[in-house]
Amino acid sequence: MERDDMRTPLARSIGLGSAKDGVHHWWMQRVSAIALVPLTVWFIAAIIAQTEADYTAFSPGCGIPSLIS
Amino acid sequence: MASSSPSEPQRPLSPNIQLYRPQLTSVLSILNRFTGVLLSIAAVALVIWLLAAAAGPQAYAVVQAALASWTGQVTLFGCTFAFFLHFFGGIRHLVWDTVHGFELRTIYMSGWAVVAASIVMTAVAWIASVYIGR
Repeated sequence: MERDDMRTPLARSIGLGSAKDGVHHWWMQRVSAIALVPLTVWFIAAIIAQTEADYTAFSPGCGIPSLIS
Repeated sequence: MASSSPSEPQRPLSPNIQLYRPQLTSVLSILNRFTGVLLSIAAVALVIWLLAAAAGPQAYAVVQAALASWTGQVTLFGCTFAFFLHFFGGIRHLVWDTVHGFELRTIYMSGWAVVAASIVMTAVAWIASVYIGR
């Protein structure tokens, strides 16, 4: 086990080295990236649907409670 | 001054971006980073748009007028193209993450596919927008 460990005994005892969560973080980035593929397309389509929408059409369209009227 | 004396050997230069001939691979790499930065700025503009909608009809009208102006439309068009370039470039990166598509022929084919898909989808988005706007 210690065969390839080139750290000094001091470095090993105070736990220097990688944080050991790099692979998990890498995978979470891929998962979120793949999830964003349909989500961003949906988002762009939602914005396109608001083209030329005036205030009364847009406000309920994106679910904003109207504070004024 | 810059010319080397005969005694000095001609050493290779490091690939400086101003000297290197642009290639599809390098240009797309640069554009992917550039559009990423641009879209982050566009996200702030999007929040301003939503804030204006939340603030009321007057603030919303100001933002709508800015978006409908000539410069606003050109900016929106640029943002649309930037989005699709980054979007398809991102999918290309996801494929690369599976350690596929690194052959020279494949990498150029996927690169041109990203460019073509971005142009087509930008056109589709704007045609749809004009159609809905009528």
